[in-house]
Amino acid sequence: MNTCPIDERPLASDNDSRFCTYHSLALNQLQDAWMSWKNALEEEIPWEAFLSKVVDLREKDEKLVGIWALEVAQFLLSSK
Amino acid sequence: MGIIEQAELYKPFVLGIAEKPSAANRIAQALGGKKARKVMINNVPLHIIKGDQEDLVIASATGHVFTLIQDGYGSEYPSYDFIWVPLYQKSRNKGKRPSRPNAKTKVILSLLEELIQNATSLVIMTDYDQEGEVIGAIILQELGGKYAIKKAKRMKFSTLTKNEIQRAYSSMLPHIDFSLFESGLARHYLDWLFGVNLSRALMLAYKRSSGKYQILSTGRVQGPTLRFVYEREIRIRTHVPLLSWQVEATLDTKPVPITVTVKKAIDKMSEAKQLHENLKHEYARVVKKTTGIKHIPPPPPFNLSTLQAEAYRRFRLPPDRTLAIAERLYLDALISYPRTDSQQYPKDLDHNAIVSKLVGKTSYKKYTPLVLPIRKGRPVMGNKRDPAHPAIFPTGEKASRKLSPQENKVLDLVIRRYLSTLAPDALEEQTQVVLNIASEKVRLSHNKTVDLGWKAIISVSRSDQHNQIVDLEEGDEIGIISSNIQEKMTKIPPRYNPGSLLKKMEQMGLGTKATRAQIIKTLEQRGYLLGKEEYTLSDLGFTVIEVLKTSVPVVTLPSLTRTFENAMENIIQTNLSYEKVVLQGIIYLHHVLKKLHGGRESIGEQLSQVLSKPKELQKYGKCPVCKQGDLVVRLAKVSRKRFLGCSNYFNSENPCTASFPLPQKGVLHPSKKQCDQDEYPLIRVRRGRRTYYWCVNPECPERKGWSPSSKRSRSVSGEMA
Repeated sequence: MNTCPIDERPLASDNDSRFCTYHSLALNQLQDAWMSWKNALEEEIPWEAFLSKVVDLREKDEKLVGIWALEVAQFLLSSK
Repeated sequence: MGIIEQAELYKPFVLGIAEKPSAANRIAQALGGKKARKVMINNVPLHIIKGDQEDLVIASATGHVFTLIQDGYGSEYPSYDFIWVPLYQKSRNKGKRPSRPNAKTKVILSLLEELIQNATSLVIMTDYDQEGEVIGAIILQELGGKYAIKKAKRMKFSTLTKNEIQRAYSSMLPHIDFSLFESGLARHYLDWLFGVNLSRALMLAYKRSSGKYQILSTGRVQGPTLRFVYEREIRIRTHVPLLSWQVEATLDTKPVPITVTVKKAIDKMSEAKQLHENLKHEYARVVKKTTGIKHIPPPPPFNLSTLQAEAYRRFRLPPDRTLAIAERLYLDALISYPRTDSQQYPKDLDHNAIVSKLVGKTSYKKYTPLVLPIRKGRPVMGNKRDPAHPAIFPTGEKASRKLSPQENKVLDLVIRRYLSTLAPDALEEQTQVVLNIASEKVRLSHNKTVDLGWKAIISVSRSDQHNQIVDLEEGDEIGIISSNIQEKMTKIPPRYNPGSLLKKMEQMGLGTKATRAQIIKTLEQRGYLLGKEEYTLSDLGFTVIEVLKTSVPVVTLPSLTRTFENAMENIIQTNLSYEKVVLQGIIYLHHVLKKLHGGRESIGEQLSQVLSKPKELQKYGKCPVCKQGDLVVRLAKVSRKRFLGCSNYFNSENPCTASFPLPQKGVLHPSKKQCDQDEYPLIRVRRGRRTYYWCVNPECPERKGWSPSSKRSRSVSGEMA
């Protein structure tokens, strides 16, 4: 059975999901925030640059980024 | 010799049954004074007040002395048959001999049984609420039969003061409150049915999958409460910040400049930059100024929920602890009955008498001119009502024993809130100014307390400082010295704490004032909630809510339990049959259990996965010796004393045997701080109300100055287990 590469939970029921339910939710949040940041800054932000920023923010202040969002960002950056 | 002979009850007698021995004692003192005689029968107190025609005998239960258990054997589900049994027979159905019977409960029950059968009339003297009604009526039903319930009278009181008890005795109700009793029965039955069956479904699914036994629980209220924490936890863990900006300007006011926020929550950076640029050529113009006196009324009296929330906010007292303290204060006749929803005082409450007793105490004497005469002739009250009891108020009685510091704090909280409801409004001078800055309307306000009123009794934040806003006049034009743009990011929402979770339960109509605190405590005890001041959902908590959400989502939603709460309320208000409510509950539950049974294999597997994981140990910093492992608490093999060891001790390739002594008393918390002297990790130790930091290095120069007899340095070296 395929499992989430981050915490080995079963994959979310969504057919093309790469992660478990919780990390899929975190990925959705990351994607929504990315769109919102691009809109707010009115500039194209590369996905990887955004993910790196998210990781930096978490290091700076734990109250800014949730742990699952951080795990997904780190995973996506390392698997690039 | 029988009890009647031992107590020398040769005349006909009336039997009163109180809820607790201390309440029985108070009632006897109030009704009999010096005539009340206390006799001990097999170490159980009985109060006898001799009368001309008949005597009055006051006996007491010890809270619930009967409990519900399954009628029959086995631990399978569904199980819909239950019976009331004395508390000491609770383990009867588990195929065990009763674990050492609670001798005292047995004696109390045999004493009550004989007294009920010989009494000419019966009076229920338990607390006047659902639980009190059930305690009293079940004792009569089980020991005296249904006839005993029908002939019993009821005393209704909200404080255990002499006057109120005498009034309640002389005007007692002709029978018990049957609708309150039936509503209480429905609550007990539904809680038992849902709690036992749902918990068994989880435990048996786990046992089937792993072969092991583990206490797991859920229920009508536990499930939805746990789901609140679950949903908050998901929001916290998946949080990614969103961006916004705010533009601030520093105005050239005299004598010192003030900084104002021109616009906040700007969602485009270009817009923020444009505004910032515009401010370089702009000035602020005062377009409107209003001043006035604002009356701020005192907060309403406490009910249980607001008392618990305030005690948590001020003293970090967990809600269940506040309830326990408030109950003790009630039994000492210092406050009225605390399990109430009401924010209203009784109409005939003699405030002058209470205040004159309270201000006799030095700490409240100075408030006499504030609270007497009472503000506008009547105190401030809230909207919430409770048919059984009024809001919590102090009785003004003197404590007959030395109160603990926590009891004193809660009592002081109740007294101050009560006095403040009698005091006049606080008066604030409010100045509001509207500025026009670069077409943006900027509202500024300043409040200055001109008369403390009730705020003199309750310490709340107040502002007495002068502010430049007050000096601004309509038409003034003020130069802008500088401006700046601030980037803002949304932060992770706060975790629930005992106070906020209790409030959420109340908002969503989950549980009752008396049960909410206990439900939270149970979730902690089961290991679903971690942390004391901020709740984190454990892996087990996650799994339990996940399996319930997947298989039977309805038991994790507040709507189900709210439906039953409304039905129980209708038993009181509209005489809805309690049997009907319970039957509906069983039909619903049967449907839920069928689904759980169908998914038992996957539920068992999920629970096994999380419960088979070794428990993660709390980490207290990096090991200062190997710099790789983490410091964790271990116990010495022989002395069982605690010490810090490196987590790499069991690492076969690169073991680390570092160990450090620990203080043997107090609660340890990791601090994420390092010692200034040697950069070893610091541990925060809380012992009672004292908190201090402990450097793990026994040779730390900071620790050298400590006296050998000092509690802080009295730690022992541990050896690795």
